[in-house]
Amino acid sequence: MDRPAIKRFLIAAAMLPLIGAAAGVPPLRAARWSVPGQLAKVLTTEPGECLAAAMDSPTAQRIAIGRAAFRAPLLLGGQAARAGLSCNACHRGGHGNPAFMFPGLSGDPGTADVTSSIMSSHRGDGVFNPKPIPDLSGPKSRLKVDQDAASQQLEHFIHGLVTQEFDGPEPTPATITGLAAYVRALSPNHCGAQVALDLDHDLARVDEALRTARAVAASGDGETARLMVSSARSTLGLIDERYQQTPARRATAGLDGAATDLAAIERRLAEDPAAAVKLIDRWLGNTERWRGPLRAAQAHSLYSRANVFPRR
Amino acid sequence: MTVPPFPARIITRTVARTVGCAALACCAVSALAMGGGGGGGSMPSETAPQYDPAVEYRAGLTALQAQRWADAEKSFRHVLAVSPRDANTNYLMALSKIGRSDYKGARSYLEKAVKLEPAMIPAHEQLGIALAKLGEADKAKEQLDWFTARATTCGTACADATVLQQGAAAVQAAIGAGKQARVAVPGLLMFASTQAGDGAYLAAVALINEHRYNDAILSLRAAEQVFGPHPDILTYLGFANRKLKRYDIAEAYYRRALAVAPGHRGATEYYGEMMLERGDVAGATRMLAQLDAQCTFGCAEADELRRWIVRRSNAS
Repeated sequence: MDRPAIKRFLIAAAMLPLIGAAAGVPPLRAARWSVPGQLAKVLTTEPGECLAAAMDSPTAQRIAIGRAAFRAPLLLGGQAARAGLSCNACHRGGHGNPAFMFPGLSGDPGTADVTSSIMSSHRGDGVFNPKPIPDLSGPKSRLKVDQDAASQQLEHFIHGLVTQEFDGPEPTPATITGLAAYVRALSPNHCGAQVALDLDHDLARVDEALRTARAVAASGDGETARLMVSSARSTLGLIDERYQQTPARRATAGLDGAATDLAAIERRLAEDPAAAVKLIDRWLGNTERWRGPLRAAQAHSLYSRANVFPRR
Repeated sequence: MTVPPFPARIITRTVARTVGCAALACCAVSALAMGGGGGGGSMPSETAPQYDPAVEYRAGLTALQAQRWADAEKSFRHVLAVSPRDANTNYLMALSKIGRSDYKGARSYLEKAVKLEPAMIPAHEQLGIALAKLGEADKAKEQLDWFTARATTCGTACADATVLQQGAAAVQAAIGAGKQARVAVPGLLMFASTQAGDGAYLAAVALINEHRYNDAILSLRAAEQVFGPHPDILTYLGFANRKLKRYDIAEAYYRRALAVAPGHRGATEYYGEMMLERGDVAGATRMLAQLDAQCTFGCAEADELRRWIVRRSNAS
């Protein structure tokens, strides 16, 4: 890629790992890659997920794996993971993201250049050609990848996306199958209402990822279970940033410990998945001690719109 | 190898306002500011002011452009306190001195700049002029000789040909004028544009992913001129040099990044990877422990270094 070609598209925004910390921008991860004019919406709500119910228990499990992986930055590698991007950053709640604006990647808001060398050491084409981020919950006919399970094209596409478009480490087969199952289960006929991003929303994500990790670990797949736990841990980080730099930060005293315990579970999963199941059970049964203070202080945190955008 | 200890830095909001919140500088404030204030029962060495070099560097440039020489000098002094081996800052410090007609003071910083960065053409030019102004024609002639040699090597078609020609002419004129030489602070175009700096940085990231490490280094150095010794830039300079097998240079950059921003995740990860490449498993494991200690909610840097260590362990 010739340098002038790269420079042509460089929008004067900010440095890649540090974007979005300018004055007046809330100190929340998603603010780093969102158009300023849409921050209020992006930081306080998420589109309703359009998730069709699973036909059977194995499918439900696959969808749950995909749902957690979809929200795990560590699924992606390279710059994306370092910036804290997950699939959900571009496809909020399984949709697109009209507010997405990443320096060097986006042209208009809601677009991304998926063949940029900024994110990929494999797919850079030397041309700045951002495309609209597709709504994965829209009609299947509008999506470029055939989602028929028999063809396995979706699995192949997702594998390439993770390992080449984002330079991610090789995902487990269960992760790829899960992500494909999740994307297939998104349907415009099953959309829920827009959800408020609050503490309970995020805690539910944590619990779901850990319950999925437990089930996967019990089946002996420690590596996939680790990704589920890392997804839960990352969500704890999203909770933490809602309290830091606010008067409510003291309420997070137990949160660090909870996250550290998850790190220990991740390590255990690598060695002995069956033994890790007991640790997950213990963790899930011992959450109120740190959740109570968070709930009590939520009104003073950045879950409150009034605190995210204070009147000056 | 252990990372040099460095106390938590204290950055004043005043500094952030001064630089007009250039994207990177403000980000650095946000990332590194930890609050401050004395009298908290801690030791003086722990509460003595420390400075964010990237923020101070931009503040110095702003002051320099406004011809507030004393303010510029103060900011660059703060940068050099943390990152004394930064050639750009030594050069800019010299310009602050020239602005105050302190040619003797400028000389020492210019000498250091050309020692740290032998190819830094503007520093050679200003050094030659300052020496002439100080009445040291022989020493000034050495700088003129440098220009002559460089121009010969470069040839007429090289990218620096014009700049070399202009620099030589300026030094020649100063030697001719001796102590009466007119000295003016040169323009700072290449240092000033944060937009260009951002562009250079992003281009460097892309070039690294394309394995074009020499080109990436050129872009990073352009970004470094704008943003000073920013830890992200130093880290990538380390990374690119490491990929070119220049391990000692890479290590120096990683250590500089960690001196500027102790605990910098990227520098810690890449330094750990380089330790593994050089067979220092224990060192890499220490780096991983540092990342684990700070990545409470998980981070890609720890994840990646852990993978490197596991691979290495499996291979042996």
